[in-house]
Formats: sequence, C-alpha cells, structure tokens
Amino acid sequence: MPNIRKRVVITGMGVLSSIGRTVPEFKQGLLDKKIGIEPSETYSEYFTGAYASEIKGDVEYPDLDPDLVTKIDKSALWGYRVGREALEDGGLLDSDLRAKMGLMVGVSAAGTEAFIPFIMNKPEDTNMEMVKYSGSYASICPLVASLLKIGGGYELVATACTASPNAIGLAYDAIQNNKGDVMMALGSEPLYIPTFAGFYALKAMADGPCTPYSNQPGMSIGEGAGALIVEEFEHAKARGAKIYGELLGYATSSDAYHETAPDPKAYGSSWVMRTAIENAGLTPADIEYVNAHGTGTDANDRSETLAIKKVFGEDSTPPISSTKSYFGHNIGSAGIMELIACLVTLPEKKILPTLNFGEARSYSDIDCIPNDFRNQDVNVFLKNNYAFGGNNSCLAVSTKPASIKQSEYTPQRVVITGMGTVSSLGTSLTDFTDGFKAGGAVPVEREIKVDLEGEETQLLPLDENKILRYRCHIVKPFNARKILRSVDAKKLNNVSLYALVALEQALKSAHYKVTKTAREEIGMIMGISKGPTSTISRLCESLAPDPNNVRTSEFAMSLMNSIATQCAIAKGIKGYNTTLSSGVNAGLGAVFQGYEVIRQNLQDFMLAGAADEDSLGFSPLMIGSNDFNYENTDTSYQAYAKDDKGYVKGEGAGCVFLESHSSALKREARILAEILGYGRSCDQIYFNETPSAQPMADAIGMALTESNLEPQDLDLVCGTTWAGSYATNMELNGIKQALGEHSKKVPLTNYNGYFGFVEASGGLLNLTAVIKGFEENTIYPILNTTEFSVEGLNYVTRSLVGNEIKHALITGMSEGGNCYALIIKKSF
Amino acid sequence: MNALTALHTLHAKNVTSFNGIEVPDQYSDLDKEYKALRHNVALSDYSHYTKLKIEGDEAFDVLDIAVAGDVAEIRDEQTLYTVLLDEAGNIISDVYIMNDDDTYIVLSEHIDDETLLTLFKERMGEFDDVEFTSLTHSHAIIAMEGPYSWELAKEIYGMDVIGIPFLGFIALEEDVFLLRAGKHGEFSYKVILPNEEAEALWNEIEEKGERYELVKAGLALHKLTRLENPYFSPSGNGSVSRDPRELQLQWMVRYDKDEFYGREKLLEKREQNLAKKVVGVVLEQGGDAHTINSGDAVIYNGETIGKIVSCGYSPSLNKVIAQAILDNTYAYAGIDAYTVKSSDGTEHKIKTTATPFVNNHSMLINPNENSFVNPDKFRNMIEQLEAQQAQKLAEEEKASA
Amino acid sequence: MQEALKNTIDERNAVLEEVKTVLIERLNLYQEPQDIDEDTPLFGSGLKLDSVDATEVVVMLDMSFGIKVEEGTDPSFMRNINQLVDFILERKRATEAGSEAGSEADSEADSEADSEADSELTQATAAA
Repeated sequence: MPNIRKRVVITGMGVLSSIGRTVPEFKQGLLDKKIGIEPSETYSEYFTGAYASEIKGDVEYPDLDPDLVTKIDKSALWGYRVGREALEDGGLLDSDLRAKMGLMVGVSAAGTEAFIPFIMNKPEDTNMEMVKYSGSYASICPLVASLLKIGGGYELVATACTASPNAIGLAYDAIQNNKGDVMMALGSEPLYIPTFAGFYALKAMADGPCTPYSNQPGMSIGEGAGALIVEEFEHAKARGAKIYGELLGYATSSDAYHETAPDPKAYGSSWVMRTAIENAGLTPADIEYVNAHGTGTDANDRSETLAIKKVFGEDSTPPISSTKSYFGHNIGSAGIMELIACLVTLPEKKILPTLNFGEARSYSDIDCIPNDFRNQDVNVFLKNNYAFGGNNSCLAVSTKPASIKQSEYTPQRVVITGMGTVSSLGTSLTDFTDGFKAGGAVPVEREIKVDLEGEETQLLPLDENKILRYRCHIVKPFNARKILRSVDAKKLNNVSLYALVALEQALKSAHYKVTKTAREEIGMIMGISKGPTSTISRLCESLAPDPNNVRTSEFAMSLMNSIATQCAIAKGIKGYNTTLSSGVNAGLGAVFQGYEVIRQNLQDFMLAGAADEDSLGFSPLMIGSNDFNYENTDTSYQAYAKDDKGYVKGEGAGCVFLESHSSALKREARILAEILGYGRSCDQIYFNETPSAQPMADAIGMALTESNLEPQDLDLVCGTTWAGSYATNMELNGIKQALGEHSKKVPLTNYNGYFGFVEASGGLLNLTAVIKGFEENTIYPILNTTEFSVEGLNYVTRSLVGNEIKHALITGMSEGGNCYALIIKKSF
Repeated sequence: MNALTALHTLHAKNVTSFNGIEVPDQYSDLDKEYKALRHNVALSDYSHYTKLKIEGDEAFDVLDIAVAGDVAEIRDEQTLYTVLLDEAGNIISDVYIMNDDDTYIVLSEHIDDETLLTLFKERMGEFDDVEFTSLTHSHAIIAMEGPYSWELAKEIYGMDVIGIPFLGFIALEEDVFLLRAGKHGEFSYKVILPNEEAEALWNEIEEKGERYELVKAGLALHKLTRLENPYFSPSGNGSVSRDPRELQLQWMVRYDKDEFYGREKLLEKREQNLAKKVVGVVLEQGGDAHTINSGDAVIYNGETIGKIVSCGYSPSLNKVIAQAILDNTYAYAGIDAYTVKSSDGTEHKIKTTATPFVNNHSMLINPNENSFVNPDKFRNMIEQLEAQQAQKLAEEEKASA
Repeated sequence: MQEALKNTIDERNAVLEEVKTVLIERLNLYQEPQDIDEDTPLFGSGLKLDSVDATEVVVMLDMSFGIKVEEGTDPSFMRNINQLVDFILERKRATEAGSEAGSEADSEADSEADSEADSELTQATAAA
C-alpha cells in the first residue's frame, strides 16, 4: 500500500548575513539589492585583493551569559543566534515542543576556531575554555541543543557546500518517519583561514564581488548562518503557526568524478534535480524557477547551466538566478540562507536577480534574471547546491503550502545483506569473527614524548624522560591492492582506505557489483568523527607563517566529506550521498539515514559506513580527556567497570549494505538481519552536572515504538559506550529506565574491548558482532570487567552459546550526549 | 578485404601492412597531411593496432603482473598508457590499457595479436580465471586528430565528447569505444568499432569534416610527429635503447608496485649509475631533413659524447630537430656547447632542449570557448585574449573621452 | 669538461634536484628524485598532476625559488620538469641581470599569455 507523504512546512526562520542580521533586515537588504561583498576586513592582511562577505563587528546574543560568549566558538554562537530567532519567529521560544525537537545541522569548517592559534603558530593565544567547549568537529550540535534546550537528538551534515540543504532534507525525512513533528535545520559557517586560503590559492576567487554567469569567472566567499523550523503541516496548522513555504521533496547525489572539479558532463548535478523533482511527485514542467548554486566560477556555472539544460531541455529552461551575487558563497550555510532569501522575496511576487551581471559568458545563454527583480508569481522552485567532492543536493519547494498534491511511496522493510569491517582484529569478516573467538586483539604499546608544561600534564604518568606510554588498537599493515584492485591505494589517507576496504567487503558479502548502467541505484552515507586527521594536520602546518602557501592538494582531502567522495569515485557510486560528522557513533546515524532512504523507497541500495584513523597520539594528550586509559596492560580496557579505568583507543571502519526486503528476495541475497526501527534523542550535556537517563530511554522508546515491540521482546542489548562515568551512567541508566524489569533479565554486552574504542565506527563494529552472533547463536562477553558500575543489569561475563536471539537492541552515545538506539531482528 | 580497406586501396596514395593489417601509409601529400594534423583535423585509419579484450575475475591480476604501470590507477572509462617489459627490464612495447567496467581492452601498435597473447600467457603464472578475446581482426580504429578534432567528434557523438579527459573514453556500445588518446600532442579521438561499420563512419567523418578542412592521412606522417613529440618508437628511440631510464620513460613504470614482470632487473639497474641518456637536440642554424642523420656523432671539445638517434626537419619550428643519446654527464637540456658531425665531416652547432620540441597548437584551444566553424567564437585563446584586450582598451579610451 | 660547461650543468642539476625534491614532498609523490626524468610531463600523463596541483607548483616556485608567477603567464612552462627548470633559470638570470632585463622577461611572458585558467593547462597539456 502506498503511503502519502506528510506535508512538511517551514514555520520559523532566522538568519545572520552581511546584508542583514535578522530576517526582516535580510529581506530589506535583498529588496534593496545590497551587496555585502567587500574588501575583506580579516583576510586582506594575508591575501592581496581579498574580498569577502563578512559579519563585521559584534553580534548580539540575547539571553546568553556574556562569560559563556568568550568560551564558545562563533559557529555555535551564530547557530544559537539564528536558531533562537527561528524559534521566536515560530512561536516556540518557550515551548515544550523543544524537548522532542530534532536538530539537523550543516557546516563545513567546524571545530576550527579553537585551534586557529595552533595553526597560526601562536599557541600562547589558545583559549583553553574554547578548546574544551568547541574543540570537537560536532560541538556546535550539543552547544546549540543545550543553549536552546532542544532534546530530540541531532545529526551534523558535513558535505561542505551542500551541508545545510542536506540537513533540511534530513529533517524532512525524520518527519516522514514520525521521529518528530517539529525539527530545526541549521547552517552556520564563520569564515576561517584554512577555507579562505584554500579557495584563494586555488585561484577560485573573483577580483571583486562575484559576477555569476557573466564577465570574469570567480567566486566570492562569505560567512553567515541560517535556521529553519521544519514542521509537519497538520501540526503547524493545529497550533496556528505562520507558514512560509512547503518542502515538497529533495535529493542528494555524488558525481563520483573528482575531488574538486565538477563532472563536465553534469551527470550528477542533473540527476539530483531530476530526482528531487521526481521525489516530490512533480515533473520538470512544474518548476517555475531555479535558485542556482551559481558560485561564479567557470567550472560551476558551466556545468550547472549544462545540468539545467539537460533537465529542462535546451529551449525550455525556467528563469534562474544566483543569490551569491548578494552575499557570496557561505559554504556550509549557503543553501539554507539562499532558501530563506527565496522564501522572503518570492511571496512578494518578486524573483531574486543575479546582481553584477555584465556580459554573459558563452554558455550563459539561459535566462539568468540579470540585475533587476523579475515580477512574477512563483509557486514551485528548486534550490540547487553543489560541493567539493561532487556532493550535489536539490530541494523542491513550494511558496504556497498545500497547493501541490503530496507524493507517495511504498514503505519498504529494510534488511542488511552485506557487512564489512576493518579493525585491530583484521581486514576481513573472517578475521573479525576469529578475533572474537580468540578473545579480542591485543592493544599495542605506543609512546610519545610530552613537551607540554602545565598542570594537566602533571597528572600524566610520564617517566623521567617525559615519555608517556599507552596502549592502542591499530590496524596492522595490509596489502590493500589485493582487496581493492582498481584503486590507487597509495593516494588515500588511512581513514579513506579503511572506509573503502570495509565498503568493498560489504559489497562483496552482499554479492553486489556496482554496474556501469546503474551507478545511481546505489547510494552511500558515511559517519565520521575526527575524520582525516593526518591530512588536516598537513594542511594546517602549511598555513603558517604565510597562508598563501597553503597546500591546495590537501585542501579537498581534509574535508569530512572527502572519505565518502573517495569511496564514491573508487566504486562509481552515484546515488544518494551524504556525510554525517556527528562524532562518536556517527556510524549509527549513518545506518539510520540509510534505513530511511530505503524505507521511503528513494534508492534501491544503500551503504552505511563509518571510519576512523589513529590520530597519532593526539587523544592521550587531549586536555580534558579524563576518560583515557593510561594503564598500559593487555586487560586494562574494562567497559562499564565500577572502578572506571578509561578507554583504549582503536581505529578502523565498518560498513553495512542495505536494501529492501523485496529486493533481497528478488536478488536471492542472504538476509543477515532486518532493521525494525531506530530512535534518537539528546542530552543538554554542556550544562548538566549529572548524567540523565532520560535521553537514552527516549531513544530506546522511539525505537521500540517504530519496531512495534515491547521491552520483553528483546533478547540482547549491546551497548557501545567507551568509558567514563558520565557516559557509562547515561547509557546504562537509560537502558534500565527504558526496559524496566526486563533489564534485569536481558543479556547486556559491549564489544569495545575486542577492538578498542573506535569513535565513529564503534557502533557499526558492535552491530556487526551482534549480527555475527545471530548466525552462531552466540553472545560474546564484555572483556576484562569483573565489577560493574550500575547494578541490576544482566552483564554478559562469559560466552553465552545456544540462546535463540531474535531481537537485539544496539545503543550508542556521542561525546556530545546524542543517544542512538537501533533494533534489529534476526532473519530466519 | 573489408570495405574500408577497399576504399583506401582505391583512394590512398600508398597502402601498407602493419601487424598483418592493411592501412594507408600516405593518403595524398605528406605536407598537407602534416598541416591538417597540426592545425585542423586529420582522418586516419589505425586499424593495425592489436586489440585484445581481457575479461574475468583475475583479469586485473594478470594485467597487473604483466605491465610495469599501475593498473589500479584506472577506473571505468579511464586508460593507462604504460609498457610491457622483458625479464631484463627492457621495454618490449608501449600499450594502452582501457578499463571498461573491469573488462580491459589492451591496445598495442608495435606487436601483433599472437605475440601480445603469448606475452600475457608467459606472465600470468597461476592466474586462470581470465579470458582473452582478440578484436584485432574484427574491429577497426578510425581516428580524428588535430586541434579541432574535438569539435568534429562533438558533431558526431554529442556534447559529452568535450568532457572526455586525456586518456579517458566513452563506451558507446558493447565493444565500441570513443577513446581520447594520441602520440603527437594534439587532440585525438579514436573510434574503436566493428569492421562492418567502419566504412560508413569513415565517410561520415569525411563529409562532416569538410568545413574543418579535414585531410585524410596515413601513418608515414607520424615519423615526424613522433619526433616533434617524442614517444616510444621501436624504430626511433627504441633502436638505440630499451632501457626506461635511458629513454626518459621512467614515468611509464611504477617502481613501488610490489610485483611486475621485469621488476627485479629493473630495480637492480636503478641502483647503478646511468651511463647514457636520450635528450632533445635542435640544430642552431639552417639545415634540412638531410643535413644530419641518425648515427652521426655528437662532439664536445673534439671528443665524441654520443650520437644522433633520429632526426628530421620540423615544419612547426622551421628547424632541424633530433633525439641524441649522450653520455649521462653531458645529457642535460639547455646546453649549447656541443656539435654534430655529419657524414661529410661538417660540424653543426646544436643546442640540447626539453622535449616535446613543439608547443602544440591544441594547447591554445579551449573546446569550451573556441570553435573552428562558429563565426561567433574565436578560433583560439590568443585571438580571444587579444580581442578582449582591444575591447578593454577601447572602453578605457571611450571612458576617458 | 671545461669550467663554463661544468658550471652550467652544475647549476642546472642543482635546480633539477631541488624541483624534484620539493615536488615530491609537496605533492606526496611516491617517486624518489632519480625516478623522475627531466622530460617527464607534469600533467595528463607523467606525474599525472591535475589543476589543483598546478596551483601547488606556483606556490612551490614562490617558496623555493622566490619566483612570483603573474596572472596570465603562459602556462606551458609547466609542461615538463625540463621546461619548469628552464623557466626558473630564465627568471633567475633576469633577476641577476637587473630590473631592466627582468621587466623584459616579464613582458615576453605576458605576450605569450594564452591561457588564464589553470584548468585549461591540464586540458591543453593533455591534448595529446
């Protein structure tokens, strides 16, 4: 039976831009054709002829403790500012609805500000408070959630220039699956030196304000933020919310072509438009206007105009324009700000012009709405965004809610038919299971010299030569060539290599080959925590003293989406593509979204993966990393121990192959497990003194509801928390609260001891072990722990063989208090 | 004889046999053919290339061990240009390897079908999940080459032609490919297709090529073009050495690959000092195609330091150019201290130089901006830039007035 | 070998070695300096650099040789290692000969200008 998609509308907006610091100001700026691109205040010092659209001077943060403002980076502050405006605009500022509201964020250069002093060789300027609060890539999410008291869980989309429209898409999907009636989508992108230097050195920048589609090619970079309240239509109507527009559908894709250059054949960029139109139940003829990505560079404008011609036909292209001529390219927040620009002007029956339009370029032989507003009533339009790495996204939007017939889909049962892992246990599934039988991998000893001074280092167990010795799980060197074949593995950083090896195994075990004629039937979602740390280091080292000497060849590969890009290129995967850099357990978030895409029948096949590379001694020295294990013995990693000794770090990758149940039957694929449901929730971790059981209990509750199960139906619970009393208590008490009496009976395990704490991929590795256990009716024990921290739970301390396991719950948390719960069913 | 060969026999000035296949050696006039290749479009028949299809689960492994380049570098619709080595680490032939969705097509112009197959079989060891199919006698290769060949190819195959990168290709149908590859520095598109369809395509290209001033060309032309843009050639540089280092062809070899045929000896040689090396040489003054000859001694201070490998007159440079093999101590570009002693005893001053010798005309053309046939577009980037500057100047004058 | 020739060769060799070394370091090439022949193409085949790497070559010229490449400079100097070295030596001589000769060399480069975009270099160099 087909489902009618829920109508998803926009009921609140917030913005911060060079041409306006609130939505009304921004609207006036647009109508006045104000250009915010000027000689750069911040970067003219380093780069000759630097132009940018910048947020100058102080920004006001209503209701925020001024002391806190000095501790948090601009990315989170701006996110708070626009998020608050959107809540206020939507009449939700004091609403209880925030407790279940999900938060979907899109950024590119996140977690950067705290480390700028290191990058620019001025470590004495380091703001240690900022490192603590805003030092991780995903920190914007828990900060905004904590400050705005948003509790419905979060994801961080990190697909560079398509991040924020992609985040809007995630919010849309969550609503389709009853994971919330009200969601916040957010994009926040302060401009930092690595981004500016990268684009500048690539000679992508225009000499002055950019002139999309005309005159000399070049882009103008910008900074700003935008937020939307995305809400289910009936819900919005019932509470009398004002409605700005309706999100009809969206799509993402990958060029699978090149790390930086768009495919000159515009295959991915046209496919994404066509698919967004199709997903929304429309045809190209319904589209009245396209708000283009329109960066102004030759590469973008040329391939985008070609894509538009391919979709609509050479002679029937709708009018298009680029809002980047007003306030530049705001990278991670570009799409959401451009959408807001459309939503404040189109209802006035005015289409935004492309400013600075001079002599059209040879390929700009379509209507670019030069210089003046077009008086036209537009209902349905597209919002395009494209990114480095070949990520494409397109939103289909209506300015007149409920005017377009809803699209339909046939909900699919989602099954796992392939898996792959890379870890200290090895690089194949056989290695993985053998490793479990052998009682896990033995962590290797590492040592680093600690030259730091200060209080914190006194606590480290250093020897007389200031050497710190610690254990970690590393992936032993292997012959990538034998596994990957047509991939130049030597060009890959470790994190991409691991991701690709896990992905290759998942494809193999699913007996699926990406074929040339159907590259777009398969998509991919990658979960990332610290990402390509080695490449980021090389890039950052090249910025001081003269950032003009930035290593451009590292620039694209230092982005979080580069891992998915490398995988997409290597295997020719052109369908749905996104990267979720939500931190620890991002891999579980990837599975959720992969599940959602298959469930809504948007793709035939999906890969959901995650990868981590050893960050070379960075972790043990992370100030504030109290959870790190310094004991240096084989058995010192003890998950859930009463006397918590901290985690032993690991590296690796995991990947699962997802498809619909009917597709698996048709292909005669072996079904490893079925996904029944998931839940996500978050704690306001930054300002809570004591851990709360509620978020994890909520996440589990959501998963049970979707799965249509009761707690007593669960035969196994697999937790994935690394260590530390805060996280351990949150997870265990959450399980206890959600499962009630049954928590005393159901076996509870945690497999991190076998391969170490692998940040983004740990959840996936645990999931793989659970599924492997299905086959053998085996539950492996928690390694090394004898006394447990939370009483009243049935911890597994020796192998349980022969138990019939039907339903398993996998739980996980992020370092920011995001809670994940996933329920899978053994396939018989 | 297929229809295309029959056509050649009728119209070409001279037809010759390579690898047992008849192809035109010269169509009309060498100068005319050269000019078309360097400035417009030349149409040629490269059907003499050996074309071997390699399929199966271990096709990758067989190729990987057989050639010195890294087959892992190429994905679908990409081509690797590399060499086959003998056990001593010397070059047997250059080859193109096309990756068509993990089926491989190997192209070689210097060795025939049987030899190529034997070479692979010698090298494949225990791998057996692999199937070889020869397309050599069933398929033709028709080439459009020259600075505007992209535009002609676009007329026939559509916009996507512009997006094909160097050494990229499009699979048009099963076993039909449009490959962008050449050995002369100009744009070059080779269509690999069944013999039965070759004549029709040849005629279509000839007809559509008229407004590009297309000229039909043979293979003799390439003795000169390969000298101007040096590539491996058994009768040219290959006649004095097959050592990748001496020929400056180490870029076709991946030393860091764990295993390939000839690797061991090659690595041994790499540890030794290099005795001699091929460099480019330009005659400083005058001369014609016969002023110097291969084998002539290169002299410094009265001593012989090397000899001429191959030479000719470059119409593009209006100079006599040559490749010379010199004692390594002397083998550097940018030196004007040497002479060549021709057979009549005359010494000619030369200058060693970087190769390729010519700045190919194709480098001045941007297919996205320029056009040969569209009067609204400039023919090349120089014209375009000059026009832009002139316009800017005019605007400034207007503004100041 | 006479002193003059020896000096010329030594000078060229020093630049060759440095160019190879910094390219390997900056672009993470797998080769060792002796594996890169002087006539090795940089783009398309040979070292297989792309348009992003082209910007790295320009930065390399500035950092290692103090050479600023002006906008509009004919990019054919990047066609292969030897031509890159020719370009460096030419600029070096122009600087040594004083500002007069320097501006002459610049204007020569300008007049040959034929491509503004680095991506075109790849396109063009790879034309074969």
